Amino acid sequence: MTASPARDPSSNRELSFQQPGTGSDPPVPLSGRAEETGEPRVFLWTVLTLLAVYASLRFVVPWISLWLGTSQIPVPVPRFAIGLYMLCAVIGALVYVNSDARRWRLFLGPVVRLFALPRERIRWPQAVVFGAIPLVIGALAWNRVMPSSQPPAQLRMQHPTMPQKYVSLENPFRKLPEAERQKAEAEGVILYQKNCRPCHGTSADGNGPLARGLRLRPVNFTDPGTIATVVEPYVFWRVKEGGIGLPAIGTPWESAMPAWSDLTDDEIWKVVMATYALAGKEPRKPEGASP
Amino acid sequence: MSISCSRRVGGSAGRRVASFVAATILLAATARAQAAKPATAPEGPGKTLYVKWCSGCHGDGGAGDGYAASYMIPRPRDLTLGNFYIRSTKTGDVPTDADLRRTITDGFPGTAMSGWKTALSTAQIDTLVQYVKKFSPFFSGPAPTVLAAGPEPAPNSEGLVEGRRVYEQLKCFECHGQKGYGDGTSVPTLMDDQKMPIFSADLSKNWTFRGGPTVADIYRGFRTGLNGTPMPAYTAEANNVNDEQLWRLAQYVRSLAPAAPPDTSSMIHATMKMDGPLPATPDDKAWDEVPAHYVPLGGQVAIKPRWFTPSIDGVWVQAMYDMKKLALKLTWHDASRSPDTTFAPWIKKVVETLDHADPPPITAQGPDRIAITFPVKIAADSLRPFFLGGNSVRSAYVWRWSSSPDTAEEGTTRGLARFTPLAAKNGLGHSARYQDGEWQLQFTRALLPVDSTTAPTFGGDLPVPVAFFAADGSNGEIGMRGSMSGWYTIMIHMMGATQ
Repeated sequence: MTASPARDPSSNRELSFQQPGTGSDPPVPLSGRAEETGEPRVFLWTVLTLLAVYASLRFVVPWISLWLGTSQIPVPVPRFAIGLYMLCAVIGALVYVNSDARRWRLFLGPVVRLFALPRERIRWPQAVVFGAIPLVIGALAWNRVMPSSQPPAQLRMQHPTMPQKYVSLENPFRKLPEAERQKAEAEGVILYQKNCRPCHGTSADGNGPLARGLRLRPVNFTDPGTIATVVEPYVFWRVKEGGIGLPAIGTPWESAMPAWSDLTDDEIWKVVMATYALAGKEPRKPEGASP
Repeated sequence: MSISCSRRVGGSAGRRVASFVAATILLAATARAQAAKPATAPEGPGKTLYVKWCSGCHGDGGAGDGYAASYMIPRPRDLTLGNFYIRSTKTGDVPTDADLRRTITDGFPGTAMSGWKTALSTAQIDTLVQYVKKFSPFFSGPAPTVLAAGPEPAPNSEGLVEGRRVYEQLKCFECHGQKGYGDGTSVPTLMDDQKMPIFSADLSKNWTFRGGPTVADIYRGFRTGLNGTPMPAYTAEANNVNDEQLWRLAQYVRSLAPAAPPDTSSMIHATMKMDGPLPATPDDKAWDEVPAHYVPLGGQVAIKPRWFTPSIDGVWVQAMYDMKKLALKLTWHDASRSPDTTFAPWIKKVVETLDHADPPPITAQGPDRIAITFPVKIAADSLRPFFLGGNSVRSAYVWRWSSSPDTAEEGTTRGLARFTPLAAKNGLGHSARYQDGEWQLQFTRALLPVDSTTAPTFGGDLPVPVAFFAADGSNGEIGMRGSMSGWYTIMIHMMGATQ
């Protein structure tokens, strides 16, 4: 006993290398319940403190930025940062409860009591904990083995780069005098309604009678993100070569768009012009063109 | 007087003597209207809108003879006759403005008449409502009388039984079939008022109903008939049914379709069979526990000859597997077990209607067919063959089935038309049943192929890409004519296979 490093038995701050029951404090009985013995409930308070820290990180801190006026909405703390803070909090709490022998024993009391199965009966906290262990393991295993219900990722570029040979093409009918241009456009509308309408719809909204059967929906030309964002020769390329003419990044195997080999180039240009007109869109100007 | 009382003869009203006289005058009036058909659209507000959006199908003169008309079934309406699907008025009257507005706004699902609410403003639609009335003299009479609808009785199981009884009393099965799958005996000769072929509605798919999908829409159809189609109006005098019985019939018809249109996600979940072997036939009870995924189909237009008027618009797919085999069951509605000689007049009318169809001409009636496309190898990359059995870039692995003779085979394809039977056969089994307008077809194959370079392995850790093609021989669908789907994926969850 004299070899004990605890020179000052009255100090609470010394590191406890002493055997249980050798300090100045009376030994804490492991089997007694804190509320019965009147001792502070260290374990419960530790858990509650950690929960409070988590709750403040999760729910209070995000509002600070709002109070400070740096943001219009609460800014959530990243999960990684919450993890780091919680790790620090747990280590701090363990250091605190471990810094005093008596407190450490009070802290361990409920844990030890939980695992020390009495012979006569099983108490409900034990039942809950031991019952939950297989359930948690089962859930983790299920989560790991259960395949996710996500379809396989299909990366598809909607507007892949057009082949070089199309880049400098121009619609010959755009440059015609207005009356002749309108005549060509009207011919294009007829071609559109015969050939394109079944999928792309009478009103160019991609909702023709056959559209429902297509997994890759026909393009809705009235959508500002479609033909309005590309130059006219791009649309010419898409009509002339069809889905099958797409590069692999455009998933040609999914597209039902035919390659319109039965239309002449002039007819395709008319259809292209008519499509823009029906959709109420203008083709994008080629880069470098005068506005 | 002659115009106002003889305007329209709808449904069964023509049975009465007075109506016979009226019908005679109507015919004369119709003939006059057709003779006087204007070559160009009439003047007035809405002409610009009409010429831009409507005349392509309905024609400049509104006679339903636009340049695109011969590319569609059903054909566009002849506006000069004043016949409209959606009508809330009594027999013989023209539709109200509200009916016309609904027609233009919502359109008809599955037809070229799409809803115009996305393309046109409410004001533009109102302008068109007034404009289309100019085509028909029938609108110049007195204002139509809206039919008073009785209250809908609360739905219950006795009501459904009563509805079924009325279904048989009114002989609905003659067109719609015993189970309502659109396979009645009169289907091969069904024609609209313009003598163009028209399909009978498949009552199990209420989302395709032209008159609308709800019980009230269906009820309205019974009261008013669907003008221009063979669907008549039913009345107390002519058909001995009261208003409540028509509501019961409407509730019964609605009950034949699912509560909501089916989900159209790309995933088909396979079910693992834990006890006993996989079923051998598609009518095995074991299939009842496997979820069915609806795959909508559209006409095959990607490759010539293109086909704009398919009769099969969807197929239900189920998948089941055990540790050794994968079984797929396909269920679809088809009015005929092709080839069926009673459908010869139907094919003839279809060919006449589609006078601009791609060559080669349809000369003979083929069998019903199914083709299922898979990649030759299921890999983690996203590269796949073209969904119609691959092409010259990348070949595919295909199961194909034909109803007559009842055979199925597996092969390598460079497009469905270029099929090479597999040398290393994997014992593809099949079993087909046809009853009451419904085909059920089961394919079964071992998960592991004999030669993994010519056929895919199922049930690895990757979902199985799959695409469908269906053809109804009695609708003239031979060769590449038929219906198709894009790529779907069958999710096979092999426990432990991923680890």
